[in-house]
Amino acid sequence: MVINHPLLGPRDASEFVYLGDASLMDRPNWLDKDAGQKFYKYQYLRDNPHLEHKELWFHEQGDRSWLIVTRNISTHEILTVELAKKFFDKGV
Amino acid sequence: MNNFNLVAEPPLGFNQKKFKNLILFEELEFSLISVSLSDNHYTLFKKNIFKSFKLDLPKVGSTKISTVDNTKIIALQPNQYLFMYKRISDFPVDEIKSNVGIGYYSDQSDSWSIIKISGENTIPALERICPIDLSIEKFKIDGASRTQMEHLSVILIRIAVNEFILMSPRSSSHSFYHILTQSAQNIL
Amino acid sequence: MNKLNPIEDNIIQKNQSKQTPAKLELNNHQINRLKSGKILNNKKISFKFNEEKLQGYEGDTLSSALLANNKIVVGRSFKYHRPRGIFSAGTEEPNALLEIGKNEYQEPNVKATTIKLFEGLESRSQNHLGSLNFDLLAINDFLHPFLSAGFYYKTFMWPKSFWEKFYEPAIRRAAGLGSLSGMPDPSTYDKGFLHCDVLIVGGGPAGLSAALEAGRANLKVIIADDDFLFGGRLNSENFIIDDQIGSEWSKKSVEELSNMSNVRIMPRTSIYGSFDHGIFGGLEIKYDNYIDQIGKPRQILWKIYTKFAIICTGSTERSIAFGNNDRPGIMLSGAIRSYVNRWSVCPGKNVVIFTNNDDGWRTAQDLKNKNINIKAIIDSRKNINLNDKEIPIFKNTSIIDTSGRKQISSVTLSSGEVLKCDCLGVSGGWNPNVHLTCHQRGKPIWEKSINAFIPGKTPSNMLVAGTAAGLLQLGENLKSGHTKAQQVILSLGFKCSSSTPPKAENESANNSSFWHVGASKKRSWVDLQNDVTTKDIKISYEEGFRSVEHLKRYSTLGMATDQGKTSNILGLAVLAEYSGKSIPDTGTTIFRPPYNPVPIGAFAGRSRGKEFKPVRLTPSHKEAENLSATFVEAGLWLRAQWYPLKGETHWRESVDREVIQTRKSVGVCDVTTLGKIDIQGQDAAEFLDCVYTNGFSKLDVGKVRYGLMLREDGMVMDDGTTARFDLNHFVMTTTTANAVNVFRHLEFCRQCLYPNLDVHLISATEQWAQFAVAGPNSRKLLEKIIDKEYDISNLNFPYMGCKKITVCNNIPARLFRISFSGELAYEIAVPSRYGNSMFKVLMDAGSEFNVVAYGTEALGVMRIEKGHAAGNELNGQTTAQNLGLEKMMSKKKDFVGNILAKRSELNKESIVKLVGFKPVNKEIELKAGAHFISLGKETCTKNDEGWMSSVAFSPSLNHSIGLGFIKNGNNRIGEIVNAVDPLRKSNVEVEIVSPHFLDPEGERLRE
Repeated sequence: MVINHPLLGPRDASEFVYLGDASLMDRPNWLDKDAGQKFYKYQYLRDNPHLEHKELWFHEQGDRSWLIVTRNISTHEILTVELAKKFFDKGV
Repeated sequence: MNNFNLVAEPPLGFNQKKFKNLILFEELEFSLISVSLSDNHYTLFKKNIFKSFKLDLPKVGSTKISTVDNTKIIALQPNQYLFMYKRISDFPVDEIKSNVGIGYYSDQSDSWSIIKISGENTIPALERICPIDLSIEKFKIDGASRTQMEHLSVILIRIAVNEFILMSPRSSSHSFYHILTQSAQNIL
Repeated sequence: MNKLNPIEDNIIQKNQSKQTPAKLELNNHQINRLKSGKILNNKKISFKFNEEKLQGYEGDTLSSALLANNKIVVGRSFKYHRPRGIFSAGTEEPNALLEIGKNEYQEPNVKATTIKLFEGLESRSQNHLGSLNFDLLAINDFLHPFLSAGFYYKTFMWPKSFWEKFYEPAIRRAAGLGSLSGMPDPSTYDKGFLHCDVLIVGGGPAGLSAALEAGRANLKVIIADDDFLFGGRLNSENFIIDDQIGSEWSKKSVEELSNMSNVRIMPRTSIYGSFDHGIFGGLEIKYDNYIDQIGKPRQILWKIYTKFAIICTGSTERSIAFGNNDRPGIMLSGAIRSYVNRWSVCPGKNVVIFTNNDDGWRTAQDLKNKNINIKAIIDSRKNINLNDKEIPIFKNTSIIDTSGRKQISSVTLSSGEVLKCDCLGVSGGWNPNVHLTCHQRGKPIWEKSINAFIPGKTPSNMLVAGTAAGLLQLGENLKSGHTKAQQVILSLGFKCSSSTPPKAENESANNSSFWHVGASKKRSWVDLQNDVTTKDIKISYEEGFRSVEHLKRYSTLGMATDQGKTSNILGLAVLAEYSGKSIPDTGTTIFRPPYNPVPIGAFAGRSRGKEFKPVRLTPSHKEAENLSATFVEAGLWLRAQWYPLKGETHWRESVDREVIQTRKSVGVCDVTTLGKIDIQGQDAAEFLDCVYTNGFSKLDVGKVRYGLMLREDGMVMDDGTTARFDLNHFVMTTTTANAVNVFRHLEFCRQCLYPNLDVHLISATEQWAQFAVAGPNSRKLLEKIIDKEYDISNLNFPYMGCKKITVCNNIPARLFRISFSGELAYEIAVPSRYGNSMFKVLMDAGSEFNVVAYGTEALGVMRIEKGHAAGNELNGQTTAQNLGLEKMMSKKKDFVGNILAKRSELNKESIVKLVGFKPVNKEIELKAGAHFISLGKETCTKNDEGWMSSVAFSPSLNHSIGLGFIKNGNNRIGEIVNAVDPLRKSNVEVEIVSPHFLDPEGERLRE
């Protein structure tokens, strides 16, 4: 498997570590009235889409960036790869 | 005067090892400093670098070398630069800081073992362990990247078509050295 | 068909006239070798088959050399132990599986057809009890009515206890193929990575045609073929390409390619799998002969990254099922052509051809041109356009039976006629090798015109050319390779060369769908390797195994080393016939990698023995070795476990001494392995507030604080101390085991959860060599080595202080006043290059205090005595509340894990709490892993109240102590319970005590 890193080009999957659904970036606010419910959903409930799936990958043996990889989990085709954090330094 | 003195020891201490069309050389005389930048540091940092080193900042995945004093600036990840230059003292952070002034500094000189690999068999030897495309069109001279080789994190910097600097973590550098010598023997 | 002049070859007759002695010797041995042919000019090679010394030529395969020496029977079949001969000339070989090499180099189940002959090769037939010619297990052949599909499943069901002790060992002995040496494989293997614009799989006409065009257009090309000679079928045929014979054309093409620096030619490289995103797996054979290996890798497993791939894997001939179609001397008709044309070997003198298509006729033609006697052509078709006046032709006829146990001696035709022969070539048509196009779930589709499956939808970067694409004729084959290469060239934005595709005639094929001879009463083999007959398929179908996937598993059709390359489609056709469905409706089984067998050794590569993983050494490793330390693996690290002194015979002696001496005076321990993360930025403090349960914003510069880190689900992730060196600069320590995970987690928090905070992380674990200096004399020791301008008195550098200092004449250092042992203690860090020296200096400077070096074992004892939680307690299932650290969870701020840690189940009064345990009888040793049961209660899961997580012998208290979790533990101090370990049959009465066995008020820390 190859991930086309937005700054570094195609890299072997062995350089990356997988975390999971990209919804993990949307951490609820702890002060919300129903924070307990929201955190429960955030932590444990996942959509299980048939085709496109946004997921988080960490380029641990590379530039240490967290990436949002949109992948068709039926065909394994990778559609987009973006940096999770919008760095001021765009690498250019 | 303190009655006790400390002696610096190299990560490997092999100096140089020759194979057919391949030389491994342990580089010891370098300081390595990482400098991280906040977004609002960026413009000033760029200006200061140009003033001190006559350099534009390298893109992520590449290196720039100062014509002023041969300092290498290596960009391995966004908002962070690795400065590499001939060792002057045990306080390299102070040296760079006085030159650039801005950013967050961390001495990394002792984090890495540095091996220079050169010779015609460089690519065939690295081909056995390095997943990155090392063809000269894809990984140009002054290109820099971190990857993994045989489970170890390794930074590569290309100096010439058949010459690379390989930086591997100090604690496992003897394993990495073994991996390199194994590759050298396997391709002959 | 090509009209070539008959080459003046003859079968050399045994009784031919006298020749030169050397040649005579050769003739006597290689009796099936033709009189002329290129191979005869090559170097002679000696090899052995079943201890018999034989000769072949450089360029032979083991199978061609065996056939040249008239070795007709080369093995016994899997189930019935029937004599079997060489059936094919390639990787599809089902019969000729041999053991090669000897002793530790022995390799079983090797296809003789794929082994390049080398000097000194030793080969043996396998799967027989007794000799090859007299196999005692051939009794199975007479028991065949009982040994049909599903026999094992049905027969060995009862009595149940017999399976393991009797049936299974007996079946394994009888039904296995080759045997392993049982010794470690002394050969070495390597791996590697290659990158290219286009990978061309297969070096036959289509592959070469594609490679020439792609190479000329300056693409980065890899062309791989599992044969040692490029050309594919061209080496086996007499086709003409661009006015030269095919094998010459391919030789010249390879020459042209090898002059292109952008082309990598990889013979003997089997592309065994196609994977996601253009990755292919290739197995390259470097050395055959172990004598030549001299420590060099025998095989290399390549991971090939491609932008495009052109699959030119060719096609494989299939057989026809008829009575007793498995006898030695019965071969694929195309294979006979290979042996005759490429290797100048003819497996027989009186050859019969049985075919359902025009291709079988080509074999007859080629053999006839070499003056080999063709007894007859049996063609199942009614209408044939071909004719040959010199050969008896039987149209609309099939073979219903054969005879000859060790070599075919005659065939019986459907007309009843019996023809004598010593070799039978069978041609059932050609199947495109679609395997690689199916590895990503591509489904092949049925192509009626050639009665075979061709590749279906492939990934967009995979193209198929030549016979693999179903283009069975040479002209269109060559053209397709050229065209597909041009497609790739244009897709990559390159310019096509001006060259035209190589030219050749399209030979006739005229396939027919004739699969098996229904009139045969005798067993008709479909899968020779697994001894599956048409009857087995019928039985399977009748018993309800109607899906082709079920048929495969029940009958074993298409399994093992050849993966049904000659039998799958035939089996499918027979099943389709029984079920009354069409072949495409019957479906195919799924092709998975590997296409060819790959040795496990090649997958392991270098990762064997001590090279399985890298090793990390601490900075003081050398000095620890000098002190004869015993080392222990901690993750990848090797750490000093204890330092035995002369005369100490038990590890406890050393560990007890290290603990006692540290607590009495001073001890030194390398703690470099703890993770160190440099955290800087304007918002560094706020960031720490987010990741730790407790607050760090208010920590003074020059101070250290213990921090507790949770996962989002409220479980403890890690703990450690974090020091503030500057307003915007912290150094965090993590546990050794979690260093990598915590860094990853922090980067996740920084980039994904709190992207607006200005914070920067870099690992400093490798940068600093860090030593714990613990014990009442630790300050005195350190004062000897730090530079004079730094004051570390209790007043100016109190407990939980941190400071950047210099030591030993201006060497930078970081000093922390923290303690894991419970004593007055420090941790001092210097740049790693000085680490080994620092350890020596500390030991030298400490000699006046009788300093001791201590290892991880003493470290563990002291932390248990002090009641500190470590890995055993932070096992991913415990919360701050379990650890008694609930007060560290700030109520004033958010932190990762904050909300879910508040869940009611995690906060009930009955949850387990970390407490200490001591045995009521002090003589008794506690065991970690024991579970707690209240006194008088039965030992059962229902009464389980918790577990002992860590135990140690405390030299300070002189008895065994333990830490553990027990329900409501903090309110049960003084209670006696049972610590039960049914597995190790122990039951100890223990008293629940405070986890702080020593100095519970922490006075020593602050002295």
